Amino acid sequence: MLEKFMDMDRRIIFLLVALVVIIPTLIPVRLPITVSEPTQKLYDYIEKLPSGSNIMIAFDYGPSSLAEPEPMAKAVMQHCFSRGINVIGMTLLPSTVTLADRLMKKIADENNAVYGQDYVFLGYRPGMLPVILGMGTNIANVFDKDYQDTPLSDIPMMADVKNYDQISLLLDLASSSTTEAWIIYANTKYDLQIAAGVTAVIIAQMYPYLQTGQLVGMMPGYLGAAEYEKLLNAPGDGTVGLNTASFAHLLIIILVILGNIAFFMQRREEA
Amino acid sequence: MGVFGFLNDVLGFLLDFFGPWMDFFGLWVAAILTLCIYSFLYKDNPFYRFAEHLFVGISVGYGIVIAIHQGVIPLAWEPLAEAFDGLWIEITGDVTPESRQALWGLFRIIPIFIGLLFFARLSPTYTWLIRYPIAILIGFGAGVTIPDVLQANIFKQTQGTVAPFDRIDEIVDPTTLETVHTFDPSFLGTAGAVLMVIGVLCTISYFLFSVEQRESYKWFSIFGIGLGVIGLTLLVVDNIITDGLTLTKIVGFVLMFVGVLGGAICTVLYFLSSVEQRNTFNWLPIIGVGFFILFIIGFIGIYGNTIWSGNLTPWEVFSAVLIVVGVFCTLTYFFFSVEHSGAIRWTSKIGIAFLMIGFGAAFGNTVMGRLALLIHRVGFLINDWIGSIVALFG
Repeated sequence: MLEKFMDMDRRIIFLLVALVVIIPTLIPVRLPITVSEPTQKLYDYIEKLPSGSNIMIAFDYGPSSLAEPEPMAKAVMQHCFSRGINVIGMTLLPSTVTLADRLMKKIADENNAVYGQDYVFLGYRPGMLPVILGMGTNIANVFDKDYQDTPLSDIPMMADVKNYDQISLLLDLASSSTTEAWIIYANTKYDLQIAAGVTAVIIAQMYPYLQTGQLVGMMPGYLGAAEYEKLLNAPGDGTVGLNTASFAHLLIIILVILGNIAFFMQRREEA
Repeated sequence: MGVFGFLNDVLGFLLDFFGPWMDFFGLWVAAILTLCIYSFLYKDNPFYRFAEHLFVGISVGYGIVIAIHQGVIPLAWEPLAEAFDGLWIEITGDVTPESRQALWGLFRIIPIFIGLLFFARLSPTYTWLIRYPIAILIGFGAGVTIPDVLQANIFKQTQGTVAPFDRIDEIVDPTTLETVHTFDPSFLGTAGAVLMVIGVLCTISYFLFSVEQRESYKWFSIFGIGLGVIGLTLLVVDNIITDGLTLTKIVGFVLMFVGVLGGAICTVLYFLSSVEQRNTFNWLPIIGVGFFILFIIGFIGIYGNTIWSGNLTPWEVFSAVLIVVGVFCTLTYFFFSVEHSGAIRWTSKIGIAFLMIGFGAAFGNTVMGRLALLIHRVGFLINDWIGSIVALFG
């Protein structure tokens, strides 16, 4: 029995994981969500901003990691539009341009936001470092036109936005080390307030920045998106994803415990 | 009309013709490719390989197109084209402020030329030219990066390690609503604190084994302890002058002095002893730690009321102490200038535990992230793909 368990075909585990993901997707279950401090801090920060403030959202994730940042973007943009806060979108990664453009349009349409007045998408420029540093001096020097080739000078929302001084917060939706780049160059050099919405893979390396105040808030993975949706009282993809993930986590915990028990039992038998 | 123009027209025609069906077609392509990728979980197969190669190829191709459209054209091509137009106008004499302004674009020839030197790698004869753009990139990167990285990742993080303790004596002034610190030593107290810091530095210098050890180092450290004691005396005197003397404070002073003097004697004895003697009296450091604890108790007895504003909850205090202990123990693990034996061995072992907890958290989060990708794809297959089929036939 023990040997059979230890030699179990790994595809059985894949099948079990697939089942615990598919079943909650078909039959949604609502689990309670408690809002953690990092997400609450981000929400409070945006909540305190006066109407007409500008927030920059950097869509720094690729197509292969959009599962977690997209619900975060939806929640934060919904919050911004409901409070009359302008959103400036951009990306440091070439592979995200069309994704981010399409996502912003979709969320804006859902919230009756108008392009050029409530939000704008600047697109992508190559070279992470020169882009971050350049916008600190003059955004128009880096992005003279938006993604739709409209000169920034012709966009009403950008009339009073010259550089980071007019931006109240930068939210980096990231799946790699871009948040660190924003902290190092935009926060340290230009004192731009930074928040992050990161995939679960890089949560652990973001906490030190949160503790020092270099990040004003953070949305950690699906959990962060679900927490933000709860604060907005608007359950969305984050809530659905987190509920499904909870069942998968439970299965993994059970498998880890069973695996360890079997391992120690086998070692004892061998001894 | 060239080949690309013809292809462009053909694609345009197809998009117009199949426009309404493009979303549906895209949905099917995405769903089939998703299933192709997940088929690898059963075993390696041609469908998986096809999808994998397609993904890599499209990613590279798409990245290049975006880099050209969002980088090369707006940052290099257009400014240069406008600059040459301006130059032509300058030559023909019909100068306008815009044409004069466009001339600045000519300066872009310099970075473009430097960038083009990267392609020298393709020529065996001129491959050495690639050193110049690489040197410029490294020079620029180092110059810009080093100060900011030091500030963001070293100074701020070091400050953050002890920052929670700064909130211990914070209170909000009810009249001005500003945050103020209740622990504000006078000149005498400050002088005492400075002397204590110098004392600590002198003592720590004894443990700097990276430089040649001399006999004078031992006396240097003893001198440091002496300075620390004087500094402590000044702090105590300052407190008596400021707040008067109470029974709690008297007990606190006694404990502090006993702690400092006992600890100092243990340290001095340890410094002056030979290796054999240290092996014999190996309990000495433990006694020294005991004296240090006495000092801490005395310090809390005297300054407890002054510095404790009740801002931090017990959990926050625990977290703050945990951060300091974690950083100290982990750094000790990586400090290879001394032999990891005795107290250092145990400290570094605790450091390993902290590292393992950190790695465990990172691994757990990674699993969580991968599951998120699976959940997203399953949601797409069930809700979007199968949903569209159901809608089509329903």
